Amino acid sequence: MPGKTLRSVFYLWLVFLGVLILVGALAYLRQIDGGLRVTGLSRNLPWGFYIAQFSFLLGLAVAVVMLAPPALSLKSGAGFRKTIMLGEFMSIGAVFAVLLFILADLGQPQRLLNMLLHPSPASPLFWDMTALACCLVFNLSAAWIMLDCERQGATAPVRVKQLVRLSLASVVGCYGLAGCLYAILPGHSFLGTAFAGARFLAAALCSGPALLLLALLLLRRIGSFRPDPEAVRILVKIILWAAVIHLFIYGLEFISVLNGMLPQHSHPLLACIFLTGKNAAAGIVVSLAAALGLLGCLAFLFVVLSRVRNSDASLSFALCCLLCYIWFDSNSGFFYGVDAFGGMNTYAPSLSEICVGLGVYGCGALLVTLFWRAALKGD
Amino acid sequence: MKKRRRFLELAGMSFLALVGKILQPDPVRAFSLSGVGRVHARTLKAKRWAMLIDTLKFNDAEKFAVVIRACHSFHNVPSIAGGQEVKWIWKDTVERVFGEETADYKAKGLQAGDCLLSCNHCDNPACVSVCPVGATFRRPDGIVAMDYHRCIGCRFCMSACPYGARSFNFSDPRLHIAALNPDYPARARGIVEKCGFCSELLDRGEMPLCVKASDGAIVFGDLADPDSGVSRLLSKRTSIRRNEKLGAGPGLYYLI
Amino acid sequence: MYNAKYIVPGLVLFLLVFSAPFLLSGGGTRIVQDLAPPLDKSGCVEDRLFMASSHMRLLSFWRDQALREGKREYVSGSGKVFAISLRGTCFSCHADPANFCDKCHLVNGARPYCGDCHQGFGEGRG
Repeated sequence: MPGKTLRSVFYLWLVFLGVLILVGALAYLRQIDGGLRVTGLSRNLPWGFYIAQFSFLLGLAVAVVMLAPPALSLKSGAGFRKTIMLGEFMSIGAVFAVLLFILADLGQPQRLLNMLLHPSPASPLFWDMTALACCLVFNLSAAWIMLDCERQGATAPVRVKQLVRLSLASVVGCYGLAGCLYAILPGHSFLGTAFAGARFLAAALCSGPALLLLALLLLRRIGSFRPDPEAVRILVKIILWAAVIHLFIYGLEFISVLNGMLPQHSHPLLACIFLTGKNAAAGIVVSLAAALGLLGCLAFLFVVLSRVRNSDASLSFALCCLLCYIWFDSNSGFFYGVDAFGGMNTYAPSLSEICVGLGVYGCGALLVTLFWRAALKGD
Repeated sequence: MKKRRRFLELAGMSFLALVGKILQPDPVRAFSLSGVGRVHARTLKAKRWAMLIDTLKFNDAEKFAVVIRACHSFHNVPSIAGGQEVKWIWKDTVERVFGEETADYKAKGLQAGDCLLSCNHCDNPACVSVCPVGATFRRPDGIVAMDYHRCIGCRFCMSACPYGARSFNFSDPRLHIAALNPDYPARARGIVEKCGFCSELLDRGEMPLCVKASDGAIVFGDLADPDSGVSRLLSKRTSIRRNEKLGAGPGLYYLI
Repeated sequence: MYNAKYIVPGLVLFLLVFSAPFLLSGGGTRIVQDLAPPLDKSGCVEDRLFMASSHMRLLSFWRDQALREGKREYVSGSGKVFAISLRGTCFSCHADPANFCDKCHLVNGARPYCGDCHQGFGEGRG
């Protein structure tokens, strides 16, 4: 595409993001004014859309940072390093969006500093906040230095590798913790297996590179940036293996639940699949998720076929499907739950919540866009 | 270009330093507090407060209503219908309350009917360990108390409580209170709340309101004291607690 | 300096606007408030100077003593005993918050939100 059209596409994209952020800000003002009653949350399911996005985006951030250490080793090419640098920036945007989602979810956001003034080491949320802050700081400094080196054509200094390792440790720890966080929730027993942390990480490694690759392919289509083919190949391989592991763990969970039939585990699962229980709406939501799961499997099959991998369009389609599936998978754990009394509760996000969510995604996307603009200025 | 980056880096670091300075605790000032707090003369003391609910005595709806009204009207608990309700003490069917432990509650000696529930004030409270700001804490006398000033409304405690004892103020509670009690604060929206075993009354030498209103159907006392009413009753009657398998160690017993 | 002809005037303008409140207020005048007198003149919890400057520190201390340690009485430095209670102690004397609490708070731009939960505060909520 010629340069002028690219610039107009860029500004159009910025305007679109601006609209999203405005919608989100207005919806959030409404939430601040009226309280969280404007959301679809209830006493039995106090966590919903916001925390689900927090979980999904955290996975995204983790995944991309996980790819960084091998990229910084001497063996990888400059093209792969550039791709991973872009990924680091995306991870920063994701972490920023995570922090915004947590802020949106609080009932008294003006008391947020209480978490720093009165730290509680026993609480996973405290460690979450610490790990997120560390991740943000390390990622920012690592990406900053990488960009510097890129501009000057020098190789990254040792401290970048160390920074990235630290960031990785903090972010993996954070995400593993998130898995543990959900495991103890009695209301969301479907999420509460020991496998949850591993499954989340696998889903993350699928979604992170998928989004990165999608964005790179989009850039290739509309711009003059050519992502390194070696990088694309490695990313696809990672996505493949992550998808395999994720589906495998899911399959294991299904089998163990349906085999053992312990009521606290099988009840939510069966109620959803067979539309039993008090709320058919929940069943509809989750059969949708199951359908998308099938879609995910199909997408995964697609990606396996090398014919698909070689074509940009079909690869993008497969990645889209995969991303949608992972998004729905990480969200579905929050859309229904068994409360402390054995009753099935459903939850659907209200319009207000969705608007705020769009706004936060807009903020994250804006940050990533600006970073990438700076990083790709030469191209 | 280089100078701009230097400037940005410097600005960023000085901002962080400023934040650090703001978070520092108060330096010693010219006016320092010279007084001390002191326990009320009539404070009721215990090593482990526990509550016994005699399910046999709660045999008609009015008995439940009286107890619930006594608590909610004094503590300015709003009455909201639907999923976003707030309740400190309430009733539910025996099947739902004890349902997870045994599908056939009759085998345990329980009668069908309604049952009174509130916060169990556990020995190992999940809510206390997950609170990121320490707004909910366990007192040495066994009561799991709440500091509403510190709660940020993250609702982690609500998700962690296995007994579903906590409520969140989704909206301003004052909109849903018919008659505000001036002797007790209402809470603001965005704060989680629950039954506190009337710790503010215990600290002044009075029994919890539900106990007083129940006319003997609820017994409250020190579990660690072998001569207290609760210890003696527990040794004489059969009692169960909700979902004991979890290991939370609830302090609310049901006499059956 | 790059673009000096825009930056220097801009900086000067910014400094002027930033310091305008201080310059316009004529160096600061002390505002003497006509506050409603307390109903019981025998003395406040602490001395007047302390209360005027640090009543929030006292209230925070009271909050922690009452909620976290179960101590519902306060023995002041002079040996007087008070119940730790806004309604029972503070408002029993300062019964007119609109002419007592709000007057100073409004002028100083302090907006405490105590009145969001606690009752007895006026329109200023604290």
